[in-house]
This record gives sequence, C-alpha cells and structure tokens, in this order.
Amino acid sequence: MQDTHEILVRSRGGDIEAFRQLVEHYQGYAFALALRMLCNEENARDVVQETFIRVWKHLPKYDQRKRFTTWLYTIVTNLCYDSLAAQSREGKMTAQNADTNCLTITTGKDNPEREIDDKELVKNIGTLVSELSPKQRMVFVLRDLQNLSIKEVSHIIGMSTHSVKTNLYYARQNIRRKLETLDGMEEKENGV
Amino acid sequence: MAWKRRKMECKSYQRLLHLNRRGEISGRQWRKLERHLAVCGRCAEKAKMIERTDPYLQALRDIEPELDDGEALTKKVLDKIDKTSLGSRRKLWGESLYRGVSTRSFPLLQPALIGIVLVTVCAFLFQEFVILDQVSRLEKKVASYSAISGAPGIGNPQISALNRRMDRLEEQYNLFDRALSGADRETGRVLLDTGTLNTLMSEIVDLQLTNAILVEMLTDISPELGALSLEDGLSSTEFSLILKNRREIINALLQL
Repeated sequence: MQDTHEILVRSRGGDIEAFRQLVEHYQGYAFALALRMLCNEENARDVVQETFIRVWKHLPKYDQRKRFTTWLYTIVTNLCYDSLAAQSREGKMTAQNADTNCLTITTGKDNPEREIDDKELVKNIGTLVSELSPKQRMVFVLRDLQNLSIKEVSHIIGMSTHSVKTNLYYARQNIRRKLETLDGMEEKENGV
Repeated sequence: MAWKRRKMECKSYQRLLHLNRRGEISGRQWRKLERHLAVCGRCAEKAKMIERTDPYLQALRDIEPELDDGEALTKKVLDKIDKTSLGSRRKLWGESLYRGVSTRSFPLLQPALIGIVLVTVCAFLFQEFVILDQVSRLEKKVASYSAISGAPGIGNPQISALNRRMDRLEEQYNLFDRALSGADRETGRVLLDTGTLNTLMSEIVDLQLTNAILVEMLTDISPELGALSLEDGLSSTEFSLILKNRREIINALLQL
C-alpha cells in the first residue's frame, strides 16, 4: 500500500480506487477489534462494513493531525457499543450466543498439550469477556486485547482516564474471579 | 471500627492490584502497594491469584483474529457505497443531485420548478411596471399641486410685492365701506370729521395710484379682467371681483 496520508488525501477527493486500498489495508484491524468486542463473526463483519461506509462519508471531516487508526477504532467502537447496547436491551447478550470460536489460538505452538489447555482456557475467557457490561468490555478489549494505552482508550471511548481505569478494574476483577473459579474446578476435576 | 477501616484500605489496594500493567498506576502507588502487601496476608493472597491469571489474559491478547475473506468484504463495502450513490455524489455532486432529485424521486419537480420561476419573474415584472406607473403619476400630481398652491412662488419678489399690494387694497376698501355704511339713507349724505376726511382723501390718492398700476398688471395677466372698464378707476364691484379672483390672478402670474 502507498503512504496512508496520500491514500487518505486521494480518498477525500473522491478517488474510489484509493479508498479500495484503504479498506483492504485496514479492514483486518477493524475486524479484529469488532470481533473481540462482539464475539460474533457475522455481527463483526456488519460492523466493519458500516465502519468503512462511515469513513467514506465522513472523510472530509477527518482531522489529519490525528492517527487514522484512532479515528477508525472510534467508529468501530461506537458501532460495537450500539450493537452491544441493543443486544443488552433485547436480552440477547448471553454467553451461549457468543461465538467463542472466533478466538483462534496462536500460542503454545511448541507444546501441543499446553496448546490444548490454552485453547480451552482462552475459550473460557472469551465466554467471560462476553459476559461483561458493554462499557467494561470496550475498555477491556481496547486496553488488554488491542494493547492500547489508557490515554488512547480514553480518547476512543470518550471517557476520562479515571473512568477508564475504574471500568478496567471491574472488568479484570470479574474475569479473574471467574477464571479463578474455573481454575479451581479444573484442579478439583484433575484431583489436585 | 479499625477492622472496617482496614477493609476499606484493602479494597483500595486491591483496586491497585488489578491495575497492574505499565502506565496504570504511579510509582508512588506501587511503593505503597508493596508496603501494604508486606503486612497484609489477605491482599498478598489476592496478588498471587492475579499473578496466576495474568498469563491467560496474556494468551488472550496474543490471539489475532483473522479475516479470511477480506476481498469479499471490500467488495461489499464498495458496492454499498456505489448503491447509496455516495461515490457518485462525491464526484459529480451537482449532476447526481439534479438527476437524483428531479427524475428519480420526483418526476414532476423539474416542470414545477420552471413554472415557479416563470410565475415569480412575471409577478416581479408586473409589480415593477405598476409601481413605476403609480410613482410617475404621483410625481405629476405633486408637481401640479406645487404649481397651484404657489409654493414655488414663495421666494418670488414680484409675487410677494403683489400680495402686499393686494392686502393694502383690501384695507382701503374696508375703510371706504365703513365710512359709507354710516350715510343717511334718505338724503345719502355722510357726515365725516376732518380727520377721517383727510385720511380718506389721502387713501383715495393712494388707491388711485395703486389701482392704475394694478390695472396695468391685471390687463397684462388676464384677458377676462381686461374686459373691465378701468378708465374711471375700479368700482367696488370690480374691486370685489378682483379680490374674489385673487388666487386665480396669482396662479395666472405663476403660470406666466
């Protein structure tokens, strides 16, 4: 891909070919974030599609001093939040309908046994993530899975850093507590 | 009470324990936390639990979801942009808007717009002509009114002099009238004292002189007044006639 700045300038001018390049390059990032947030592949694809339509629509308003990925993540996060909030309102958000297969493990390659264990645990964590409240989930995904700084998370979600930390604390506490229970159960099953 | 306070303290330290990644708590908070863990067994146990679960979170972080059919998704996005005419709008905004609005959505919009424009232009022109006509009529009226009322003659010294002369004649006429009203009906004689007689005589001389000038002016001005017999001076009837027609005489002078 050419220089992002140049592609953005051309896309702003209505160059659809430049925009195609932009979509091809960034859709993976958008999809990863959407999938981590929604844990549902179909919904994640819809969000990515809508995200790039919004990007095209609002490109003239995009402030080029800011990082494009930050802007892109803001749009993805907003759409995911809307989707999660809607699901939450309709009572659909349960661990059962979360598609945890979306989490394809890449760790433990040197140890097949360890890989199996990790697969199970990560799958369980995926289920736990889907049980978090929309806000906690957004903060947890952006900070712990996307590895963004607290400041970036605060900027993307539009929350103060203090609120981000509070939500992060509750999210981690929830996950760790449940993880501990799972771990304990596993130990019991293994007769430890 | 001390137990309760300690529990509160532990809760705030446990919050710090969960925020254990770089940049989440300050160095000072770290030091405080370490000091607390050294003396609090419950929090130290909690810290161990967090340490145990951290690798799983790290494992989750390492998972990078992949999009296997990126090409299809790109196509979908571009198709949708094209379908919603967002693409063409960006390129040919005006043309697209015209086509989209006039023919697709509202087929009768174009003739309706032309009709509205034509009606507006006609109404504007009609109004302009009517107003201009009314204004010119008004101007003419104002001009004629000014001529009749004598407004432009205010500064004319000739007319002002004539007006003064007319006033003077009116006064003289009134003086004679008062003197004659006291006459004996049967004999027709009038009794006058010397003072009144002197005044009357001087006025008569003055009147005759004034009349002579006025008669000349009036003869020049109005052909109607020229028909009056002026050789013997003005009779009271003739003089009344002149006074009655005073305004017409001035107007005639102004028109000249």
